[in-house]
Amino acid sequence: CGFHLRGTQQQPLAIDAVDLKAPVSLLTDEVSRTLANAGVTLSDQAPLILNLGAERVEDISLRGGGMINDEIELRMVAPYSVQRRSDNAYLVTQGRLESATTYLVNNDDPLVRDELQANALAELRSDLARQLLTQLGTLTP
Amino acid sequence: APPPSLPAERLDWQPWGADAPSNALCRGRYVMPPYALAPGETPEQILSSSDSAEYGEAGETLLRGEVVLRRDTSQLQAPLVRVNAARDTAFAEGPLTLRDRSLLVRGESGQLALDSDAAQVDTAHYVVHEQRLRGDAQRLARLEDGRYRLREASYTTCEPGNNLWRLVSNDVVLDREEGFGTATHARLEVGHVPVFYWPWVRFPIDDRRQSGFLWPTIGISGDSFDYAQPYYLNLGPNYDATITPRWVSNHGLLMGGEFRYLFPTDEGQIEGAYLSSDKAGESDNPNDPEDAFEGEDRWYVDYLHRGRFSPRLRYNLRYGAASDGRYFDDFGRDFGEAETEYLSRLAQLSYSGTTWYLEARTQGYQRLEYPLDENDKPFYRLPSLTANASWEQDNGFYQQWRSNATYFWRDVDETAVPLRESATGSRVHLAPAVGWRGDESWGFLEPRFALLYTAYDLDYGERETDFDTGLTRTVPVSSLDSGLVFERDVDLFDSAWRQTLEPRLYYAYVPERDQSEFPDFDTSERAFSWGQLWTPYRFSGADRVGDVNKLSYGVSTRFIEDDSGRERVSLGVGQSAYLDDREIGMEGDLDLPDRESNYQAWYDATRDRSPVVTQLDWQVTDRWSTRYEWFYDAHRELTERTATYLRYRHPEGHVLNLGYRWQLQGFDPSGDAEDRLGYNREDYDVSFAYRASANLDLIGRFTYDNTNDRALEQLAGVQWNDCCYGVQVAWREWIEDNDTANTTEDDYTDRGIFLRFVFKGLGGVGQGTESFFEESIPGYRPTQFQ
Amino acid sequence: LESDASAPIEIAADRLELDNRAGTAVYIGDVEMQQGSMKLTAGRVEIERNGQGEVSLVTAIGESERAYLEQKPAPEDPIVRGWGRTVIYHADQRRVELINQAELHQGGDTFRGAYVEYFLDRRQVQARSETGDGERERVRMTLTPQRTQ
Repeated sequence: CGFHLRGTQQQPLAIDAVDLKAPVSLLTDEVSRTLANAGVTLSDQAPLILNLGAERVEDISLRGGGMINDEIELRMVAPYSVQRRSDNAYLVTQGRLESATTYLVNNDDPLVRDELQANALAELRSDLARQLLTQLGTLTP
Repeated sequence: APPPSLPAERLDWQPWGADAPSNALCRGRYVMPPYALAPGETPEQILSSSDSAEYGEAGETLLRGEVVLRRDTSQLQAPLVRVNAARDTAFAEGPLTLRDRSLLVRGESGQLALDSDAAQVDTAHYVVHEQRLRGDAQRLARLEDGRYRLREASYTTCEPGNNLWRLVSNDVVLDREEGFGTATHARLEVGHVPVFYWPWVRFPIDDRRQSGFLWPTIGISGDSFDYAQPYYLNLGPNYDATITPRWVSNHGLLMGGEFRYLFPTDEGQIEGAYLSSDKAGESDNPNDPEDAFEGEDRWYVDYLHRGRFSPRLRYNLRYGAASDGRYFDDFGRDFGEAETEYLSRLAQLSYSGTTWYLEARTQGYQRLEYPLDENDKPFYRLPSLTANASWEQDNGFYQQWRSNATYFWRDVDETAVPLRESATGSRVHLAPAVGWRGDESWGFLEPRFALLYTAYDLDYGERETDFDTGLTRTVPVSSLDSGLVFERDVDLFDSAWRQTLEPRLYYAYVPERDQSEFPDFDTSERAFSWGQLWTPYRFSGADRVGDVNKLSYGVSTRFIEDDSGRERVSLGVGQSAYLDDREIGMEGDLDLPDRESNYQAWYDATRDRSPVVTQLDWQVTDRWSTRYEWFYDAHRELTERTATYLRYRHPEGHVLNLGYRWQLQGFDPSGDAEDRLGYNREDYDVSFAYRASANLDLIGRFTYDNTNDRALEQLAGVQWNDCCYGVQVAWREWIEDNDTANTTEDDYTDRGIFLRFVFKGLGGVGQGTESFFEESIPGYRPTQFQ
Repeated sequence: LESDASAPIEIAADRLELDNRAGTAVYIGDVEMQQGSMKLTAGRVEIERNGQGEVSLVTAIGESERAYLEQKPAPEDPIVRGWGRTVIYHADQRRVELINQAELHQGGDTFRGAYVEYFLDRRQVQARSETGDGERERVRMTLTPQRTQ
């Protein structure tokens, strides 16, 4: 039905180096790790500059009211843009990474609640990094 | 009293025609006409234009007939202007117009200094275009230093002709440099009716953070009337304070305050409130004993400070405390009495390097619940030391180091809590891991092996037990993750897509270890989810490591836009096959839960297939998107959980969210018995935000617990954001479950109306409802009160 | 200067025409007239004399350019300059009228307008935006702050 293994047909990622400009954050670490795993070297002389904004998290209780047993929707959004160093032209201006997840939480124990939130945020960050990789795949420097 | 105002057209006011911008809040705007005369070459030079000009006997200069006098940025227009012999003052007979940059003053008579910025106009009417301020004064004087002093004056930001509010005072000083005004014997008139009086008041005249009045918040909740009057003090360029006296009818006068400071590398704020001898009105919570806090002092304090010594070395301080667990139930935290379950206490120093992440923290919480039973008191971490690192080699090998040493403590009567939670003590948890990740664009393979070592040194205090106080546990965690990525190009809905097909196979093995004598400091069993398929860990926290021997298999397909690479559809289906029963539960012993007394736990521990998880994320159009989850148990042929969300986001800010969730009782195993739902949960929720116009935001939310036929949350809010004032009204009715999820008998309904209005230009906006509305309606970004 | 009134008058011009009206001399073509510190240039100048033969009225009319008159009111004062399509000097009143596109520079101030009248020995200036013949030009002034007395 037309499916073929990716990569064997066309170049997966035309970019081999990128200059990542981003604040010190867990999202930045995750993006750096994902780019490195995909064979992209991070160097501040790279022809492409990737400006990654800070993550913005929306944390909403879905059940509302004062329920001890609740369900939280966590949505993380991060803006990014890609510039060519040679002429500072923007290849991507309004780049936007967005991912959401929900998790059940019991507000009875804050230690558990903090850990569940931390895990959910980590899940969202790795999803954002994966989306960024897919979107960078469409760029030809 | 100030002279009557001039009509709009005399005040440079241009109503919007068809060209009104969509976000215009006012019906028009002030437009400064061009100067009638070009300025001289030097700022000191004075140019004039008139019907006639002559020198008088005494050497003065007399200009008559539509005189225009221009000096630097000031321009004076009048029928007659006399420039004295000394050439330092021009006197004008009315009706005159004085303009300077974005200021207009019309008056009967006046004088303009020619050697300084001083000027004075009598029976004046003024407009400051940029800040949309206008008013009238018996006398308006611009002082040498550029400040304006007005006698018997009025001041408002309302459009000409709209006298909703104005501040009337016998002496107003406006300082445009600093951006604030002060007034003495000031009266606030709403529609010409005096409603408030200050002997002296300071108010901002532009949007810089200025002291001045924040406008009152009024709440009617239960039978108590609640009036809070914040007063905002801008004490310095980077610190400010808000003092909030607050009258709560059934409790008394509460003095609240907040102090904030902002420095280049750190910032912080401290807030709190104090009420002496509470009149103890009865609580909204019928389960509470009457007049529980009569005569007691009630208070809360919350201190927060964040800073960094360098971008990688940061520290974080937090201390929150309240006089009792019912403080926030009685007084709420902010608009709408949003939930405050805990006040956190934290001192944290963290270093995030490229390889190492090091952190030292002491942390604790005050649980706000009344009455608070012992086992609900959270553990303190005094301290918790964490060191994590990871190394990757080009050939794909990697090593990870996770380690934590924590001393857990809580002030509790050991004999009154379950044995498992009665110990205090230290725990060292080490989790070194090695692995190899082969990452190709067409797939990946990742074998991984971790060795979890945990040691405890416990103290049971007075509690009699034969549990060992020195425990260790070493357990290997091995897993193999693999996946392929197939692709094809596909044309659908007249655009080109790339569709991927990503099968995934995951195996995890963790042998069982007897943990029956292990404490429970920060551990809870995780609810099943898509993520749980691909992880060996069945518990959060480190006190339990669950045995597992499973093979998870799943496939995901994504539709990716060719040009942007954005995912429009992502669908995943997966399941785990359990090759052994899971012996380890929260009790930590090696035998399975008893089938008769605890069927749900027994079934979950012995089932050989996990639910089939289906998860769909679909961005249907630029505005509509949907999410769908379904957990189906093929063995019992029933749905264990399903959730459907529909989201609408309009570029102009309208938002609609629809949600449905059904969940079998016992699906979420976390928490103590009293905190697990005692029924199948079926919730609907609808929330919307509608930007009816530039001025009007309507929001609403309704969540309904279908199992118990009751509305958990009902919220309706209106925000009217007008040219010179803003009103926020919210009505909220919600159910408090009194922190017991397993029964609904002790649930009660709380409700309240919250009103807040703001006179723009007369008070800093302050925080308040924006955050509340924003936290209740997913995707809603409220319009700020400019 | 005060002494101007009694100073001799020198006139240079392309040609001179005597007008039979009693004592009116008309100089035409690039006329330059000087009396003490007062100087006058114009395309055409008519000089009338009174019974005693003293100059009573000087009417200067600009041709391609405006007529120009300058004079030093007092030794320490800056020169006063005046322009106009027509410049009329009333000797007896020591009064000058600048008519149409009138311009006067006096003591750091400047006047422009349809009509400017000023007195040579007094700081008396009067500017108007109309003249008898209906031409209109609003009066524009430049005042310098420290005006010397």
